[in-house]
Amino acid sequence: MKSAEPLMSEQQASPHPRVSSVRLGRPDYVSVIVRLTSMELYKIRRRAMSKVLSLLGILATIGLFALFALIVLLMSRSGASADAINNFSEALRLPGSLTWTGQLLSTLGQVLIIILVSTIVGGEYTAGTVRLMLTRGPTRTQIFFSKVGVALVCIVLGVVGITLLGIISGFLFNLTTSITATFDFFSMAWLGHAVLYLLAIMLGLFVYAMMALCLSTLGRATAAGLAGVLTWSFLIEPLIETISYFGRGISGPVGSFFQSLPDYLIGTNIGVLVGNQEQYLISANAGLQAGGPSNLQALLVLVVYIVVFVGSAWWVTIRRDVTN
Amino acid sequence: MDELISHYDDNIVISTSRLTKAFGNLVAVNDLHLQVMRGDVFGFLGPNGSGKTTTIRMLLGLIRPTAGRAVIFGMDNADQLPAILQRVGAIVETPVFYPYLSGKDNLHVVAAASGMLQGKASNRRVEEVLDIVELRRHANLAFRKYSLGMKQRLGVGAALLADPELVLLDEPTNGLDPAGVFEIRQLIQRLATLGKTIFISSHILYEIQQVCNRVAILQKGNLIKQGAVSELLQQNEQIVIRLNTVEETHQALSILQHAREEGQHWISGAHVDTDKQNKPVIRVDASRTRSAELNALLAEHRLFAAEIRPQEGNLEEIFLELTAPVTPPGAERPGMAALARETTAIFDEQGIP
Repeated sequence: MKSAEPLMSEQQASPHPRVSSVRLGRPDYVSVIVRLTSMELYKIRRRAMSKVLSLLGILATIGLFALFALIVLLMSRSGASADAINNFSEALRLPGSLTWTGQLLSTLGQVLIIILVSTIVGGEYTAGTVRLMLTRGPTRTQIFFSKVGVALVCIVLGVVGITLLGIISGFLFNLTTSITATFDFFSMAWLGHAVLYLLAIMLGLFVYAMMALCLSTLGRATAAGLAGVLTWSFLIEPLIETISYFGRGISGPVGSFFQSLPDYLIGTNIGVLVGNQEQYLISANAGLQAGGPSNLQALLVLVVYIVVFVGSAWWVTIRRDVTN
Repeated sequence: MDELISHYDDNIVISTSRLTKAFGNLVAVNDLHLQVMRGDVFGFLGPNGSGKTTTIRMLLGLIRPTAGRAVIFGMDNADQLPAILQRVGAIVETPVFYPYLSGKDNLHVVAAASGMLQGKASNRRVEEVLDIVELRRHANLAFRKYSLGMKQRLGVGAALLADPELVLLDEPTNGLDPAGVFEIRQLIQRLATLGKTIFISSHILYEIQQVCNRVAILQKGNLIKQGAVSELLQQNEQIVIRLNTVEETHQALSILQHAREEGQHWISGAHVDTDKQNKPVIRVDASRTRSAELNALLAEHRLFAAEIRPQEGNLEEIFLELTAPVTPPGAERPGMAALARETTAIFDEQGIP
């Protein structure tokens, strides 16, 4: 092997001459991942599905606040009291518009991000383009982390974009109610909690996105990620919570086991993180803590989920044979 | 591996040693020793299921070998795959691209994945490649709307995008019309003149014969032949003799057999066959340069050939000969039965064992 080393290093040290029109980018590890992530975003921008998903998100956000404005209008026409109208129309003004947008992101946003991630990961296997990517030079790990990266970028852009749209939509629809928006609640602490609130929503979406990435990778199909995560979040988690509810009637260690199950579900822990920040945003409830696990425990549980999903998908990605 | 690399010669581009891949009990590739030299246009032949694509996948790191090694540019592909792939362009099976992207956008994606700068920086190269594969007119059409031939051409274009040293093409002419096949052949020849090493698997043996200088033939995962195309064809050269009558044909065959027995070893064999007009001819297994000697030999016995025609070896025949299933004793190969009966009858008549 010793005699081989100079040969091999010579080979690598002398890259073959290419035509001048081939302009190579930086070859270091991180630059390759950044370039691949950017390429993934380019693909997303060019596909109709992502445009449809974005449009759905935008329409749902505007639609939600339009609905609130309509109800407020109907309330005022039906002679409802000013207090009732004022209370209801709070959804159109900060901080109400922020928390309602957050709710929308945690439900519809979750479904949209699952569809997107399942498609960008599983679609490579379904269409067979995984072969195209794996024979170009980047390592499987770099390609894998570019997918994680693009999921993260989409979540951040989606959450920030929809939040701004929600706040602006609420503000504009609030003009129809003739109720003046006040900013009494605003302080730097409130702003900090608002940022943490959005980060908690992003983290929740990221956990489900990584679950979709994992299942799409394992199942080599878009449908695997999509069906798997939707089944988990809308069927299995509610089922476990139901079992836990009935577990309250059972005494002893078995009962305790059933009762503690929800503390380890993704939904519960995201709910804790989001809920705890929401308390600070709505001034009336400032300082109150939502029930259930602590923030630290919730964070730890979610981190474990992320490590399991990302780790298993990565392990399979680097080890599997890519055939048809 | 150490041996493979320590004996590494800069002229060897691909070298495999005992390369084996088994899927459960099925051994797709068995103990494969390949050697592709710099500048080769290397044809990789074999019937369906012989392990060609599996070998290409192992070379590209898409699948892991069960045993053995593949060394490309002096680097073991198990350890240094990214460095290898940066110097390789490949099509594996049917070219697949993102169906919702145009041909041009797909090339931009491939450019980014190949380490090229994105956006305008790679525009010039993308345009060049579109010209090379003659897809500029359809550059903005979605890939899903491409015909099979256009898809193949885009696949070749993607393989050439980063100007690789080694181009691996798995069935690049699949689905192409004769004009398309001709274009790809010209393209391969042009790439060869630029000093690229080309590894091409194909079923179209005529194409391989036209463009390749070396070939390897695979059957049921085993390498059964590897060498220079010219040498293989030379081994399969024949001289075809047509005489004026059937009797003269029989006499000539007998003379040739005796000459061989008496030491004229340049005659490897001779048998009666029929030509395209269904007339009896003698096919002599001998170098095409021996035509004059053959003519003189027959003339000594006052036999004058109506036609003596050297016949070039044919890769298709070599391939079929090497990959033909072993005929069990007593069984006749379909299509050969009539010829065999006819030849036996002639030999019996002449008393040739």
